[in-house]
Amino acid sequence: MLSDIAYSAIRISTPLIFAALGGLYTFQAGMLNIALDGFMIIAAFAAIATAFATGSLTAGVIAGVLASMLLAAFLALFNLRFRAHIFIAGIAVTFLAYGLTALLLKSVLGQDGVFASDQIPTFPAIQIPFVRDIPIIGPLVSGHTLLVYVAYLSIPVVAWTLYRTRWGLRVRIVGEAEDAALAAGIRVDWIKFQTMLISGLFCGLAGAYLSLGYVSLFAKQMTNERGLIALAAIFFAKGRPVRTAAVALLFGLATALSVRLPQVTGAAPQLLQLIPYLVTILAMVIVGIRTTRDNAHNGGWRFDQ
Amino acid sequence: MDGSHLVAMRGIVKYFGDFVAIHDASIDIRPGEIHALVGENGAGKSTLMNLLYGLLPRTGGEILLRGRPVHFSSPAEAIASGIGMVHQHFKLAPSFTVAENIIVGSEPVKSFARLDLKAAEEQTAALSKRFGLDLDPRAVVSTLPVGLRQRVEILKALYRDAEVLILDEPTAVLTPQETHELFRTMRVLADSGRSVIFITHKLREVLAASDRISVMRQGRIVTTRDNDGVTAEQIASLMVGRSVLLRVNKVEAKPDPEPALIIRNLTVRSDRGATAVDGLSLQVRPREIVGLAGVQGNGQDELVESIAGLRRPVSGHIAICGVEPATADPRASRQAGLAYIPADRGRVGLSLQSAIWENMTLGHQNEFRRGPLLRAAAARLRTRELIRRFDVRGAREDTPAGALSGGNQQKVQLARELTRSAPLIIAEQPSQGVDIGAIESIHRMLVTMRDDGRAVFVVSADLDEIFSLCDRILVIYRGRIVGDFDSRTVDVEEVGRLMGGITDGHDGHHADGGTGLPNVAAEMRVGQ
Repeated sequence: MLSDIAYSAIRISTPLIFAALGGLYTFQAGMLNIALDGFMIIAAFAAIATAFATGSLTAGVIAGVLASMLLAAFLALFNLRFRAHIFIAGIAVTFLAYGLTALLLKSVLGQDGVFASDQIPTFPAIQIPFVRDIPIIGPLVSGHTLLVYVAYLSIPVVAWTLYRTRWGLRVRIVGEAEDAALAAGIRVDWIKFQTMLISGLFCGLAGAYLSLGYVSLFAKQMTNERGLIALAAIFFAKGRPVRTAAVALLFGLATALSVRLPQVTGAAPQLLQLIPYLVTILAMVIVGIRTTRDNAHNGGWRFDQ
Repeated sequence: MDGSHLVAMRGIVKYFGDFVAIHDASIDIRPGEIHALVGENGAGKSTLMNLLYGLLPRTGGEILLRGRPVHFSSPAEAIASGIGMVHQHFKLAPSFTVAENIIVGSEPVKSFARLDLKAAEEQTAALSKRFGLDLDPRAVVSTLPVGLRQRVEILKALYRDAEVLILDEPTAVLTPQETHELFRTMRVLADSGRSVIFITHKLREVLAASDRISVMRQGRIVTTRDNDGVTAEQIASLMVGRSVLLRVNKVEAKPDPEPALIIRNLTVRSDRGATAVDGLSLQVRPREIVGLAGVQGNGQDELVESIAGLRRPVSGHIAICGVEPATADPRASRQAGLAYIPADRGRVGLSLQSAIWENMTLGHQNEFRRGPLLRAAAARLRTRELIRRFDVRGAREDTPAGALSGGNQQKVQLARELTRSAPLIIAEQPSQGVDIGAIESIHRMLVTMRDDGRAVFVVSADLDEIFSLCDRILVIYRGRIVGDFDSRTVDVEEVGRLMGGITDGHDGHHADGGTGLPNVAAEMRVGQ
């Protein structure tokens, strides 16, 4: 039972981790990217439609990632070139993605609301030799699909790019002190554009996983505000990659509990489905308390924000 | 082309829309010189230098660097050509180390574009040693005092091989000691063949530190001359275009015995949690102007915020006109009799997007109440009258406050606060960012308030202002009052020493006379 819940927590967290890793790049570059859901939904659609048409999972994933990166490039264009406020532009892009995918669902796949087919290829579970034989941990770690492993293995790579490379230093300086970056001759907008594209890349993987790995179907607005939950994880962990992923995993665990507990306890499932949202709210409350605490201690009046 | 000029700016013109910021300005910079660029606020000093640094595009004129015309469309290009600029507001990333801040943009790397932090730290250490600018490359910038942050900025420019270093108002945030050290550094740089352009409006510094002086007025370079036999008065009148009174005319103060502000054993923490005000006590009486002298960051901000109810003290007592208002309640402090003119006009003092009449009416709403409504017409009428009375230039009651110059914004604040019947006035940096003409009238207003029986408490980082305006001078250092003087009997050097935390009058560092900086100020004062 417990290992069951842990196994599904790992699975359920995967799209959250992808989206959070994507979102933390833009966060570190000083942009509040609220369009993660929009990137994911368009990727989920492009991935499943392509996989359905070609029968190739690889083509599906690539199509999802490209679609998401294209949308990210749009958002970057609106924000960086035409100077639209990132929040407004982000909402616009998300609604565009919701509307566009619903429209294409009807016009291309001829479905209202949900599309599923047994012609959609599925990811095989990967049994890791030796590891799967380790007691307790083995069954949790082994037997997931490829994208799950990609998500977890991306975490150290993301940390490395941000904290060990020249590019990462530039991203972080741009995020903290844009003036300083400009004065040092860094092309701030170019760096921001790059982080937005990477955001699109990871959200593309998240979306492709949602429609091809997590389930084998596409539903309208199937991201279920996972992008916003990923944002909450980013804020909670202040954009640090490993911590962000850990918080995303915690949210995933909460979701796993809400799915599994009704089967065990017999309590009303509607009530238990609140768990992930309660955990998210709790996390945001902790963030709020943490950020105001210093000032409360020292008695200063806050004029900013 | 004349090869003796490193930089030549010829016939520079700059328009902002219809507004002409720079008219036909020309200036030459020689290699190895310290060139002071002086002028009032708004004279165009920073604009001219921003044109050189590629931050702004110019409307006309030409810039020659080593005899060749240049067109910089971004600071990156200026940096690549050997021009560095240290801005008045430092452009540093506070949570990063000294080394990271210095190398960002041209970082040493290992294979796979990996950052080579070790090399960065070594290069930073080598650079700081070479120019005698002591700094720990691993220190996090936010933990450094302002003087050291400025060094980071200077090293940043030197790391990029700047041959021309522009310093925009570099001394505004420094202690007298740090100022001495900065001047020494500037000299080291000039001796190494680099040129230093030093923007300032502090006359005594111009005379103390520069080789040549260019004076700007209303977008023109009025004159460039050698710093030889020039007096502060000559430069001041060139800056303003008429002779100016650097000292306020006022009669002797006859303070009332009963203080309007009493502070006892006040302890306040800063945002960061450090003790900013440390068991401080002071009094301000009606009919006197008390000046609080000190280098920025010694607890002045926290002290004033506590009095104004914007910060909750840890312990101690504040009494305004005999009333001890509830702590951290701005409304209670104001009702007790406080009129507060904050230094941060843009965020604390005014709403820059709002019209002048709205700004002037804030805090006076009760005078214009009709039930839940505001008698806007009456409020506007009063604003029109105040604009006239306080001589707010270029303003109608509907103009947004942000469209005014610094001096006129200050007058709007003063008009609002001084027309409340508050016996205690706290003016924080009243002449910061205000041109000389307006400074005179602001100082006159504060003296009039004193003569009308109010208690005036002035907090200023500018010693000239403190000495010319105040009757009594308190010196704050690390959150404590370390000196309390009658302004007629104390000299600038004494106050400067205490501001720097030096209590021993025979301290060698200052006894040598150095660049003669405090002496010049003292002479100016006596010479009036």
